[in-house]
Amino acid sequence: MTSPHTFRQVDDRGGGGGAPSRRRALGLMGGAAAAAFLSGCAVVSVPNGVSTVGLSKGAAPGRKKNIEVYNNQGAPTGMGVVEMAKAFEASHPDIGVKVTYSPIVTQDVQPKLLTAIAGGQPPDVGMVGQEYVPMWSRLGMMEELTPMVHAAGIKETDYAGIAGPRAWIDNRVWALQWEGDPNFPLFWNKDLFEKAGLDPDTPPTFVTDTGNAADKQKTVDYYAGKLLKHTGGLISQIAIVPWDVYGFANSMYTWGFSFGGKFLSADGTKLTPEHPLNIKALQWMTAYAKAAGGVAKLATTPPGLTLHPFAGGHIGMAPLVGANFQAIRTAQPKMRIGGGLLPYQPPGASAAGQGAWLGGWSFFIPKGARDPEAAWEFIRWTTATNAGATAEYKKVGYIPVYSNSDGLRAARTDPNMAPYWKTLMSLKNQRPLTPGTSLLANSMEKYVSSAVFGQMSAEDALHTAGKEANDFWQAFNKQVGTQLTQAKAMALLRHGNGQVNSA
Amino acid sequence: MSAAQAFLNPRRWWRSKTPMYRRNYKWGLVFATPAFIGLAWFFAYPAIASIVYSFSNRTMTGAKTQWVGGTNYSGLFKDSEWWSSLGNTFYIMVLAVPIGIVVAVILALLLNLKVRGQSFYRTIFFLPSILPVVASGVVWLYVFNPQYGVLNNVLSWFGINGPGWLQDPNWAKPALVIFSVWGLGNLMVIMLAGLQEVPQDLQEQAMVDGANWWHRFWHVTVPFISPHLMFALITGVIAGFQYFTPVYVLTNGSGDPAGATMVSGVYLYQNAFQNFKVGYASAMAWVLFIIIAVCTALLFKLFGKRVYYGGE
Repeated sequence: MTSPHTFRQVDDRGGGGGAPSRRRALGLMGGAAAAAFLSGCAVVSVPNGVSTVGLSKGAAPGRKKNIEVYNNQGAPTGMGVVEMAKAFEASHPDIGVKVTYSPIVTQDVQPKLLTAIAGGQPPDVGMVGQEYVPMWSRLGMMEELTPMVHAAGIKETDYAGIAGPRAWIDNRVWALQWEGDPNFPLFWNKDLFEKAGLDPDTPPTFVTDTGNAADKQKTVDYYAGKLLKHTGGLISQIAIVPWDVYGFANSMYTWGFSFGGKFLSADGTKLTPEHPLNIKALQWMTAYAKAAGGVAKLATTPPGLTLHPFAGGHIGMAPLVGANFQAIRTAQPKMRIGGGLLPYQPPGASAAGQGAWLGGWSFFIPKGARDPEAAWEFIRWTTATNAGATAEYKKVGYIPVYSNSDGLRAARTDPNMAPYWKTLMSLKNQRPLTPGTSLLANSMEKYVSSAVFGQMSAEDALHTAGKEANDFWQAFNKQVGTQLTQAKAMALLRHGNGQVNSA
Repeated sequence: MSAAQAFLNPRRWWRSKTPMYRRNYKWGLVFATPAFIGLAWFFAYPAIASIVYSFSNRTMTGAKTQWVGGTNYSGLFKDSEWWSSLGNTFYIMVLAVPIGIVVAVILALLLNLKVRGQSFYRTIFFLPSILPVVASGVVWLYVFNPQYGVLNNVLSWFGINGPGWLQDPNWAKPALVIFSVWGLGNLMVIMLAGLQEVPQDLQEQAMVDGANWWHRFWHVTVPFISPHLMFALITGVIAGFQYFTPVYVLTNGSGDPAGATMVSGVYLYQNAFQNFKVGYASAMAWVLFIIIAVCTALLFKLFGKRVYYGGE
């Protein structure tokens, strides 16, 4: 293969025979210098001037104890994590915090963290999404936090929305959430709306046809017709890109929930991407893609959390994570952006924002951590104190989930963060807490994509994804043992008439 | 005394050596020991461990690992995703390796011409190969962007509506091939080295005999660079089956769109690091190894005798 990473072998027969001429040597040196320059240049934008530190740092000198925290956040939020660790050190003179960058790659995978744990050299604190806790805890990768949580008097009601209940399952806690990631508020470009003759202050209420003529002009489909433009056979302007809400799998969750779909059976024993309302949601996505002119004519997925294409001014609406929204605000200060809740689709869903689901990262102590006591103090401070949660809000910029924090209160009135606050407080969904969820993400990524590209029907795509994920889950249970209480609890949470409970 | 005799009767072999030879031998062993330890620890142990894992249901942490015999291997035969990933791998390799070799030879021929600024041009064409794949991959993400990418913009000058490239299941693999061919600087240098070993007197003789450019290239140059071509083919095929980083960077490792870029390396990685099926992933690695070994042997069998090693 002639890819750039191949043919590193040095040809022992030389590149031309004899000593290189001075001109050639100079040429090679010049080339090497140019390459070093090109490869070394990294343009890192720092929205809000949050920080100019790196993504890692050494522990403050002269501390009695030192812990290591793996930071999976890239710039700029990762720099905020470093600043948050510094704030912790300032308030804890005995503990030094070394922050090591451990990047997230494909679909939340953290290879550096995983290999460190597998190799018996874990950091003291790592980051994990709550949906991975059922798998990681049962594989013995995590220290249980329950005794420390009880001793510190921390309760699930200390957290906003469903952040507490999903961490307190059967009174056992493995990880505590340090940042809220309400996925997603809807943002819209007011200028584009105006140019298209739409009310700049009113986003669509419904996703598609409700069967009621009075609702017709309130649907995403109606807005799509007004905003769609083609240039030279390509889509040059589009209302929304429903299949590109941070990947096909996350898009499926978002629109599936917006239609009232479920991804976990009521008894919590089966993943149900093939739920009829999820199929309807995917059918809508595929129909929308076809009506727009084809998925292949549009490319909007940002490589990581760089500037989202919404900033380009050719996309009418977009569900955005906080980091993207803040970056757009900084890069395009004059862009007039409206923020609100996601449209919904009756009869499965009954209120705006019903498609939102809680993401976000939690801190945990990996099994084998050298100083669990100091690690717990770091976790307690960042996730369950006003000082820590507010430091996170100020330094990192995510909405905190610790209820009694000035950061959360400030988010409510901050015009940029208010949509996130409103979404966090109203959402009822999350990716299912099961060991099969990671495989479901892979499968949905592939099959939802296949459906959107017209290669298979929505029904087949979601049935296939569900079968693969459930087969994997069953095999996992067979090997590691059945422990479905977390899944059952979450099923109750999501099917219990909107009531938040922890079973 | 031959190595075989030394192995069969080491004491006798040792006594037959001079004191200086023995002293040098001992110091040689001392200095080589770190390398042996490194090889054993970082290569031999993981390789042996992965064979063992491939017969187990080992997870990332090794929790509740059980011996499952050949289940992982038989499972691969029934895994449609595995076959699909192998097909994608083969597709990219079959296109990228020959195209890469041909382009590298053409570039090497051009850069072998005695022209002003020769070193500059060589540097320019070599530069892509020393750029980190991740960095160049991110740049190519923008190059391949259907709306704003330079590639489709250039095509539009000729009235061509460019495809969706990485966003289109039909064009994603060709896009990866283009990206791979772009970074062929190392291969180009190897071909250049080969061209510079072609005896000029033979070229001149052929010219005197009335051979045209093509005849000289085909009957003089190609035989002399045939070892380099063979090297490029073999290493290209080996690297092709291990194809990973470009897909990982250009598609965020998802195999999108619609699984069109799901190559074996990425599927293996997903199983190991996302689904924690380390045993299953190890079985994939060993099946890939066997496929690579068989393909390499076949290539030697098919082309080995056609390689001209000069006077050897």
